[in-house]
Amino acid sequence: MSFVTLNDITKQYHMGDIIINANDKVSFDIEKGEFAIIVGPSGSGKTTVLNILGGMDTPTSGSFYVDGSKISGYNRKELIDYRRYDIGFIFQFYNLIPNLTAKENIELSTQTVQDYIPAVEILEKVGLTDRINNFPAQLSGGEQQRVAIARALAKKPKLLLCDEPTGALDYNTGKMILKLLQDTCRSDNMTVILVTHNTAICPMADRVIHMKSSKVSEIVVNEHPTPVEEIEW
Amino acid sequence: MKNAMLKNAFAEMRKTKSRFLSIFGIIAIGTGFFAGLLQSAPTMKESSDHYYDRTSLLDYRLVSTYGFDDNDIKAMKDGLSDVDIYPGYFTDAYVNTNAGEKKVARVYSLDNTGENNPYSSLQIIDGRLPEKENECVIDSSKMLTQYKVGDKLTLCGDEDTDIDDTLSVKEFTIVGKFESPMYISDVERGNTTIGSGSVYMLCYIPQSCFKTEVYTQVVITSDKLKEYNCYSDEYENARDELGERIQQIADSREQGRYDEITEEAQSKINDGQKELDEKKADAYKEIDDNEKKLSDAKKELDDAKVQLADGKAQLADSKKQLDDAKKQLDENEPVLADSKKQLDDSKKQLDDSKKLLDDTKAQLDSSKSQLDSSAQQLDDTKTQLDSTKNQLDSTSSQLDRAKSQLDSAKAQLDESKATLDATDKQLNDSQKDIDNSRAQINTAVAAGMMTSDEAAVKLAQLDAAQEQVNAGRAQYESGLAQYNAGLSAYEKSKAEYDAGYTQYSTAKAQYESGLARYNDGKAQYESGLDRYNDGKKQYEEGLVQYNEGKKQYEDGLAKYEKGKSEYDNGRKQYEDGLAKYNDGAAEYERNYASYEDGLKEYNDGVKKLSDAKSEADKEFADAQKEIDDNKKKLDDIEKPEWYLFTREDDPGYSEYGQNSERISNIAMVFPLFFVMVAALVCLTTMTRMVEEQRTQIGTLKALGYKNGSIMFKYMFYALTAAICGAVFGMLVGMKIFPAIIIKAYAMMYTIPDMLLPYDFVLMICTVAAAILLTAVTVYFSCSGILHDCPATLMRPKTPKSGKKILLERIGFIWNRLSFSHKVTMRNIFRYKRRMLMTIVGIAGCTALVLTGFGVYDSVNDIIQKQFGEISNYTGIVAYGDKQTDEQIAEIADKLAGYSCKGDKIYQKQITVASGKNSTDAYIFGAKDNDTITQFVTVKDRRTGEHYTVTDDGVIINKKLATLLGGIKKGDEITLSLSETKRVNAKVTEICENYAHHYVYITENLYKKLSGEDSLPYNCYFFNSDEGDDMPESDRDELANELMKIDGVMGVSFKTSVEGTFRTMLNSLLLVIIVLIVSAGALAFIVLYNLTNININERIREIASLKVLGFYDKEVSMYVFRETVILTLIGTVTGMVFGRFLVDFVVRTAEIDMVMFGRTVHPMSFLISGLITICFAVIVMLFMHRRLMKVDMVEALKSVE
Repeated sequence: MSFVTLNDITKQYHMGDIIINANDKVSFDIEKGEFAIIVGPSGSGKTTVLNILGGMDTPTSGSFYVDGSKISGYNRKELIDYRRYDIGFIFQFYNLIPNLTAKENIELSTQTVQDYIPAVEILEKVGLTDRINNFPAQLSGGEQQRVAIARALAKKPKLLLCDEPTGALDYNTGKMILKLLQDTCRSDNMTVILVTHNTAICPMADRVIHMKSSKVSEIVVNEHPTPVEEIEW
Repeated sequence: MKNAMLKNAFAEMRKTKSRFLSIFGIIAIGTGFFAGLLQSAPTMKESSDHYYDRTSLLDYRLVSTYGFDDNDIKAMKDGLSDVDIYPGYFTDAYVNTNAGEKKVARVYSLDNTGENNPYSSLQIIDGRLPEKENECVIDSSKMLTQYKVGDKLTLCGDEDTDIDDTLSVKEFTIVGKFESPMYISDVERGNTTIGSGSVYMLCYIPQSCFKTEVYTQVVITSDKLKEYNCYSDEYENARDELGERIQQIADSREQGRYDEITEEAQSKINDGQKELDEKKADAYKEIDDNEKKLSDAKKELDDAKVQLADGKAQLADSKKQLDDAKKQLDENEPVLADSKKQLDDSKKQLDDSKKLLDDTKAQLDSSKSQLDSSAQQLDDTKTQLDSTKNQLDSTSSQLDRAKSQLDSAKAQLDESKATLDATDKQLNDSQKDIDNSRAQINTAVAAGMMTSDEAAVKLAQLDAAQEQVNAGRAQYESGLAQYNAGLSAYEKSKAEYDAGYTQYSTAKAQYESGLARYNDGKAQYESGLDRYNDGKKQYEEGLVQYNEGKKQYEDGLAKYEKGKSEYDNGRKQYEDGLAKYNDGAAEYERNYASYEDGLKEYNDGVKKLSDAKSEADKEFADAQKEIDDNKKKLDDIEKPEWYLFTREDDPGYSEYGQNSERISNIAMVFPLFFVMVAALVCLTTMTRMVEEQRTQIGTLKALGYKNGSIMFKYMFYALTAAICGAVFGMLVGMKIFPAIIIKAYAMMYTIPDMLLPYDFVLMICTVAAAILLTAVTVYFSCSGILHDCPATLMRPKTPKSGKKILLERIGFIWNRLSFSHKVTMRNIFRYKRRMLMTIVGIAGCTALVLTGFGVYDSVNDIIQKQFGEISNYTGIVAYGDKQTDEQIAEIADKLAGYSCKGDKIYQKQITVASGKNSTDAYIFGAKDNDTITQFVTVKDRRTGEHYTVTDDGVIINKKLATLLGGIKKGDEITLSLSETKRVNAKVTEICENYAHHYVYITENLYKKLSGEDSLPYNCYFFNSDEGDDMPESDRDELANELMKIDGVMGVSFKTSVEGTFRTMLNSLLLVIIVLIVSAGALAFIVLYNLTNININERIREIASLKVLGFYDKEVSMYVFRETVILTLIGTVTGMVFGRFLVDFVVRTAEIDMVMFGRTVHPMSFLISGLITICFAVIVMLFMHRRLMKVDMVEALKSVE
């Protein structure tokens, strides 16, 4: 079995009498250490898949496995533990706690687990050694996203989930963030799943899952992913 | 344009119901409290005014030292045509309660003639008004529940108050119970000069029951004054104006009445002098007549004395004679008795002898008859014996004959025997031969030696021989049988003979023994006969002796009888003599006694006469003196004085007014607090709303809407909520709060009317205030955002940036905080406005709860302090001031029996005044300081220093000093010792006391001030060795025994007073409940609102935490930790603030009669803190559920 396996994941929302399928029998596998990209237009259900994968949402039907554990069917408490120990989440708008410094934001996350990378060390890794004691408002968008990545990585997750991490960033900064993610994937053998609507960055991924109208339309495996630096869009 | 905005606003209301309701709620509570409490005081006044007007409560009540006569009334009616004047009567009398106490009743006359008469406006609540002379109505106070309609009521007086002069009827049937606007206080019934000084019962009886010549009071009511509100200045001014007019009439009538009285008195004195002179002459003539009568009587008495002496001598002679006779008689008496005794002895001896003789005779006779019968028997025996002898002889000869016969028979038999034996032998031989022959034949036959014929011939021979033998044998056999029969006949005869012989031998022996007996008997008989003849001879000699003795005795008896009759005659003569003597002596005694009586009478007469004489002298001198005194008094006679009493002199009237003032004071403070909180809540809520709709505002601005029209939406939204809330709050609050307060006061005051009007001015003002308040807050929440340009607004609001707080610079504290505490501290200071609001809200809650408990503590404390520390006595015995020393000693004795001891005290309720202020207080007088301090502790409230009551001045309690306008040490106060006696006294110290007011005074000072020669003691305070632990049963017993002593009017124990007090103060619990409930509502709204906003503002932050895998508890703690800290800070602040609030409330809520304590117990701080925290915890639990439900996906959705 692959590191991540989704079998017929379906998510339905009820809007009054109408039933909306956000995901319709979505199935795919991702191997450990792969850099996977889920790509598709707005409303194609990619973020929903990511949320389900991150334990923030539950599928209406279907099952999925992470590292051999069946996550679908977890109860509330088990899902919290899953998020706490196994998942690192990166958002488009960083979602840092504005009232805490960069270091404190990371400590907020690491204080919940036993095995973690110290805040200073991880910030150094993302290249923010000199901004350790700055509040989010005092950081640029790229810096904030780097803090967010550092926060996600600090607790050594099994899975790094990124929801449009470059969506709010300019081209260069976005590239830099993608590079950081790709490097992390390669050097730490971290499994990264990234959601984007930008098809241009697909070549950098080991595996690209195309979604359209709540369904997986195509899965492409890149034998030779392109380094981020060489991608232009 | 406005329409679109309006639609938007309505849509907003529907969408955000909870926000709308929170503004509505806080405004409703704020205005409800504000308007409700503000309305309370006017409501109290309005209700009472309505009651007073409806029942025509008097405006003036006039009392005069001389009463009012018809001239006075006429002058008033002439001078005051625009008011109603009702002359009437009142008096104070005693009633006996069921408990056996004597209490004071104030009795008013009830005149049914006039219309609109204030008396007829008594509010009969049970039964009806009196219709007949022996009917009455009494007031419906709770103290009088023991009296029922239909019960009898007896009024009585005492030594001082003789109500016979005042009332013609004293026994009444209670036909109804009333409430009177004159007496709204439930406990106070005013003062009186008799008894304990306080009135216990009010009683109205028909006017015709009063005998008093002049009216004792005049009641004045004015319709014009009804137009004014009773507690208003307008009323007081108009009333004072009327008072001045009354005073003018009073001035002129006082002089007029004085003249009338003096003239009348002068003529009376003259009449009296004349009468005295006449009486004097008459009296002295009578005395002379009596003197003459007495000297006659004396002479008669002397004559009688001589006669009595003669009679006495005669009596003595008679007595001597009688004594001699008695002596002789006494001597004879034992001689006679001796003779009698001797005679009796002789008689007895004779009787004994006679009896003996008779016995002997009888014995002899029986012996004789025995002897005769023995002789006869002997003869019979002899005859028998002889015949027996003959028989025996014949028998003997018979026997001899039989013997010889027998012997011959024997010989015959023996011969027969021998013959038989020989025959037998012969036979046997013959047989043997035959047999042998036969055998030979047989052998021969066998041997053949003989032929059978031969044998047959031979055998035939043999058979014939055999036949012969057989015949011989038969002959033998019969011979033998004959022999045997003969032998047995012989033997039988032989046995008969032997038996006959034996019989004969026995009979012979019997005969011989019988013969011997006969011979013995014969000898005995002969000796018996000899003895009989001797006895007979002796008897005859004894009989001769007895006859001689008997003759002697009869002679002696005759002699004795003669002597006896002589003696009896003598005795009878003596007794007759003695009876006669006794009669004589008794007569003498009688005569002597009547002589003595006569003498005594005479002596008395002499004394009486001299007494009468001196008495007459004295009486006439006294009468003369009285006349002289009256003459003098006439010169001293005082002018009558009229006293004007207003409604303020009615017990409870002004106190009720003051109470309503207090309520309005409190009404100002509490609601302000609520309004402040309401404003803060409103502001935060609206700010949040505006910020949430930041983008929308930006869009509108971009579309060209003006700031005004954008703000209109928010104004409309908030104002709709505020106005609805205000109207709702007022409608409810203005009904509920005044009703609660009036109900609370109904425990102390009887105001049956309750008006709960909506005061429109107040309502409009309140709504206006609510509108203004909301508008200002909306303006402030919008103004900032509206100044930004649309572009900025379209972008999400830059989250409030974090920054270092001051605390971080204090390294040694900051570094010690855990990570989560650091976060909390930073969050607290991030939202300063919210921090402030939370603290204010929580502090307000704690303060309100603390106020509730504090007020309760203050009240509870005074009970402990008053009855534990200050009042040290165990009980009081009340008695009339005419109690004799003996009766007081009896009280002391009874008390000593229960290990109680005490002392006399003068305690009476009087009016104390200083300048314009006046109030009721107890004057507490005793011999000296030691006596007073035995029963009460006179000390300073703060320092605890004990004061001494001196002859220099009085000591009053703190509250009294305050009520009298802040009296200080050294100031003077006016004491109304009685209605007409007012004196000034210096205040030497001000002491601690909580319940009622006291003026402590020494006997010396009282005498000096009043001019009286003693303190009119009216009660006896006592202390038990057991203190307040004295058992209930002992108390009852003691009280019963004390009540039996004459003059004792009542016995009361401190503990029962304490009990009543406690019940009364329980009404305060209601206030506490109101406070706690409103505090709860306040805390809840503030905390809920703030936490809600907090969560809304930080929803992304919370969602992020959840994504990071924070457990529910961790998420809640992240948010609540700051709430907890702020709650704690707020609680502590609230305690400080509440402490001041308690002081304020206690000061304003105090009633005049009582001074509350000023301390709040630590326990109350603790409880109010806990209650607040409890409210906070409830809110947090609510919010915890909300936090659990926060949807991460929704919250973190990318901002559009």
